[in-house]
Amino acid sequence: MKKYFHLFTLVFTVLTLRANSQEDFFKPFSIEEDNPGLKINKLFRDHSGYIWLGTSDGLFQFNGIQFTRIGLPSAAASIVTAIGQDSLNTIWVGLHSGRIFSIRNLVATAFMPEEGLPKKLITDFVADGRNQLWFATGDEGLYYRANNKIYNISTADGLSDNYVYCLAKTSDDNLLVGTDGGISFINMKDPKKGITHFASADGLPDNIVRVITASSDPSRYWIGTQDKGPVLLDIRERKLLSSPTKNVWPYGQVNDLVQVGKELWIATEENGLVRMSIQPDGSLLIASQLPQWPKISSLAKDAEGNIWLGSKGDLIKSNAGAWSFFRNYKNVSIRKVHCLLSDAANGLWFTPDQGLARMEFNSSHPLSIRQFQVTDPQKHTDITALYQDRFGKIWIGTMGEGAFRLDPETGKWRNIIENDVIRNGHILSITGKGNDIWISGLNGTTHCFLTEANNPVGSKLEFKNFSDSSGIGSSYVYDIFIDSRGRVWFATDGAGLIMMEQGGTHRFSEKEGLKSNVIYSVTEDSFGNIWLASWNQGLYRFDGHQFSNYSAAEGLSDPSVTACTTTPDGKLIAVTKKGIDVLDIRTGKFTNYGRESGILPIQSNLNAIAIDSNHNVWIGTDAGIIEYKSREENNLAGPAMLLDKVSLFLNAIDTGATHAFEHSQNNFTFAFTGLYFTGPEKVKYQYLLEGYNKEWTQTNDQKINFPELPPGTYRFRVRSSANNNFQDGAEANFGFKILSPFWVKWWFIAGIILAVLLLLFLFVRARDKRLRRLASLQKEKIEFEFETLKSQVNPHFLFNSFNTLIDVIEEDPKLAVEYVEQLSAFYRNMLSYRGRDLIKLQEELKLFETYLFLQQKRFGTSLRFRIQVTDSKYLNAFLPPLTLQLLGENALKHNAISKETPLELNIIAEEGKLIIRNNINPKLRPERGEGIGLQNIVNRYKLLTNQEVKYHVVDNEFVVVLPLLKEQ
Amino acid sequence: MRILVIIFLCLTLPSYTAHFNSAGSIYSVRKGLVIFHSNAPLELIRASSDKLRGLLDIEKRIFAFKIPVSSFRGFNSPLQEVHFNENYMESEKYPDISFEGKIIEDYDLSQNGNYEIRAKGILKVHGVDQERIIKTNLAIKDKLINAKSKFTVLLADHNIKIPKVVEEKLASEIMVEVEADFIPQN
Repeated sequence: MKKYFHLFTLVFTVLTLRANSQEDFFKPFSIEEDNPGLKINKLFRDHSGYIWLGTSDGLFQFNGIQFTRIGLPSAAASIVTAIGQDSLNTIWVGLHSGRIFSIRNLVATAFMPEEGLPKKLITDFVADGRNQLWFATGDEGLYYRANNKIYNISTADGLSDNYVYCLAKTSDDNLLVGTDGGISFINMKDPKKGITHFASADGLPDNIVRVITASSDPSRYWIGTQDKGPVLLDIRERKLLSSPTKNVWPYGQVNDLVQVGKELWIATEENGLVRMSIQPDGSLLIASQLPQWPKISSLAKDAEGNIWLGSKGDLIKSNAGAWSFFRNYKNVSIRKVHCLLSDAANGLWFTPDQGLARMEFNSSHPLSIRQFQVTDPQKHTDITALYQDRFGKIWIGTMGEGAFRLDPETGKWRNIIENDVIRNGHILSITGKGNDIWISGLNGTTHCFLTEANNPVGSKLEFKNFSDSSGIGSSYVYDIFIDSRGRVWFATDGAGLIMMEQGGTHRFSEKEGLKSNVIYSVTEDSFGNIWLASWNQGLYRFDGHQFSNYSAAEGLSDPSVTACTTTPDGKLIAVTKKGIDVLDIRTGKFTNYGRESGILPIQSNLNAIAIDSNHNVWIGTDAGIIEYKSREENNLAGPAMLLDKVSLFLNAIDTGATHAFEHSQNNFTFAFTGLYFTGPEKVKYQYLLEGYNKEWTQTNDQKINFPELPPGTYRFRVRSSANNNFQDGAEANFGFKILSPFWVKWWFIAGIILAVLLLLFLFVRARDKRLRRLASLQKEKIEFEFETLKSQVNPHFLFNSFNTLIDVIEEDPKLAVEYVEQLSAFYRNMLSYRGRDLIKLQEELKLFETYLFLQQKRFGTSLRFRIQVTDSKYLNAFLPPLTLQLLGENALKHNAISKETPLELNIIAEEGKLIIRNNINPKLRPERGEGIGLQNIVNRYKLLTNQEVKYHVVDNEFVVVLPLLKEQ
Repeated sequence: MRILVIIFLCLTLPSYTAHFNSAGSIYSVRKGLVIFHSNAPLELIRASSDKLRGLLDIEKRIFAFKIPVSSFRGFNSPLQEVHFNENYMESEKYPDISFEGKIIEDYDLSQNGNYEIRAKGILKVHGVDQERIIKTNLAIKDKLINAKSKFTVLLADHNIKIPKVVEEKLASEIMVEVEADFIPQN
């Protein structure tokens, strides 16, 4: 029975704990693998922002939407126990078996140092300033890699214990090592020397140090212990900063720690997430506990300020308390909150379902609640306006019952009846500053001036109504706002914005850029800008001269803003039916929070917004109160743009290497991610391939392919946005060049032109040469003909011929006839041949024999000749006409011919040549022969053939070698 | 007899005995009792064994224990004992349960006194190693050490499968109580 009682009290405690505190939004993501036993061991955020999960069955990468399994080669049991990253962005993964993998471009490679791998589980990785990798093991101490060698540090070197749980690198290159024997301090630059310790003897409450995490102060580290919870250690002083939990720690083993603003989040083995608020002296107060997920093995913080929890097979997202929800507190159901007020003591006044209540807080956690009943419960009157005056009294505006003034100290209140605008009226807004109180309602606007006598709520108030033509008196005024310069701003329905300054009023119009005439609320930021929330036109910023509009194009989730306020750290919070938008006024960037942050469905009420002195913003909705903590951790930069992979024909390329490609390497695929854990589904992309596209193209795809890009210089640019405003979105880009093929390169084209010109030139020159040769051939031929003709009409020849003939006529008339016939045939042949370029050797010989016959009649036996050409091959060969006759004539001309010195003429054809030889008996008085005849032959041959005519004197013989030609 | 024990331990725990100091600081179990029980909904199972053997080096603060699975007695029925040995623990395949490791706290255990220490080491049951931290109370008086500890063993941790039929008879968590007296070895 006793046991059941305890069980009951435990359940009750848990329930009340949940009921009493605000609710935070936790969203679990399941690693959907067919492995129900899958457990997350380690979470790690890499330098790009991805969350990595080391599990009992492998490694995963998470992008906010889905998990990608990274295969670990040939690792039979891949229980991942450690994940780290070095300064070259390589991911390092350690397994329970002691195996280690390095991961680049999502591809894992087994780490195989020649020294071998540890036999025990890997527990942590750290890279030092020189990119030396340190890794810790369970029971082998720690290892570091320097110059590709692995070194071990163990108890033999002075390490406190060989079982190392965690490593933490300090900014000055010291390593904090959490072991079973406390903390060891190692100088990473000189690891083996002077290892020092901090352990139980120094006051550490527990020697088992499971986690060491940086705090917001670089000299202080949070130490998570096995049994004694977290403690804060000053590493310079080597001193614990108070014993925060006074050694009473009921939540058991600490698995991980993360500091979130002024809170320490503690992942425990058996008691889920424990949140403690950090007091100024470093001590910790329990803030809340999250028992839904009892075992939290690891925590990770993303760049947007979300905290991720690893619990068994679930990855759980938390907005780290940026948004909290109050739906009920104690017995009060916090519904239909139409109005909110943060009072001077940071109490929150709100209107739960037509009532009125005030909640007190202790370091942003509710402490107590007090309810007030001012309106008639029978009438179901809505409270629409709340204001605290300089006396601390609360002004309450209602729908139908006018306004009340309440003293929160005594609880006394009264209905304000002394003004007819207010009395029994419908109040829209109450505001004030100092002694001025402004009240607007459906009956008009009135002003009240407080005096010292007005401290008690019962005192009579003085009012002055507005019914002038400025529009203040004649329109519904939704909101009245007094700015830092004392100007009073009226947000009206129909008359737009009216500003009152030193008694005068000014109504803003389209001239100043204000297009809406229905304004819901007015507020001022810390830079002095006035902000308006309009119906259907978004927000307007007034810088003193002009209005600038902020609407859907700038990233506002909906153009109707029902409430807005600003925070001192430069944020504007705007409530729409689509969620809550936070504008970073400095950058102009909107961050939309909706369903994925637990905010929707929202039924927001007009101007139900308040900000307290801790800069927490409170928003009233029909479903409860939403609290927003404006903190540095809430990164409002929007999605981080990552170019994950550039592929060439689907093969990933190293984006760090060359960016120039051949003309055939022209099929590019770009894979990218706009990493945005706050609202990953909202991310859209725009891309532009400079040098190819002219305009940005919008897409929801995360992969773009460009097949067959022509040669050129390109830059692929991609940007993302979660709110359709891409202008200021982060951008990733990749510049590259596709080279032209060689045939369109300038040098190739120039070469081709040159070659063509050269060919043309050579052709022209060759043609020219041929023409010139033809011309000279013609000339030579004419000269030759002239020469032969000259020799034929040589008077000596005729004279000699006639003398011979005279002799023959007398001796042998028959022979004389033959002689004349021969002479006549000789001349006839000569005349018929001389016009031709070439004649057959046969014909030439015949002519030559005729010539010799004529000469032999003169010289008798003194002229001997022998023609030894019988081969028809040679007889049918060609030579220029009258060549032999010219040579024979030369021989007769230059030699003395007598019985004693006969002239022997030999003609032989061999090896394609015709050889003409004659013996030399020079005349005593040489003939005037300028060698014209011989030279003429040589020239003629040159024009006809490459084969040369040779002539020389050998053994007193004159030899001429004539090439025999083929007819062309 | 004592020599036999030492020889036995030396043979079975060679890796650990090598680490122990040779003189003075080593204690061995003179009398050890291990009791386990499971508070199952339908049937309470309870068994015990006094065959615990072990060594403790108070200077190096390391220890090694071992107990044969088949030495447990006192089951509700002989059939239960058979099931225990054959079906659950597979004692022929995995004859021993062992726990070897170190003491986290750096107390001077040569001094008389009562100490709450944490023993961290590898608990091997059913052939499956689990790293465990086990709280233990040590009472030291005049070179006699009495150690008492209570802890739980999750069957799933050691891959001990329970047939569906007897699932209700055996809780998934087994409570273990250990008490041992140590005396100096020499």
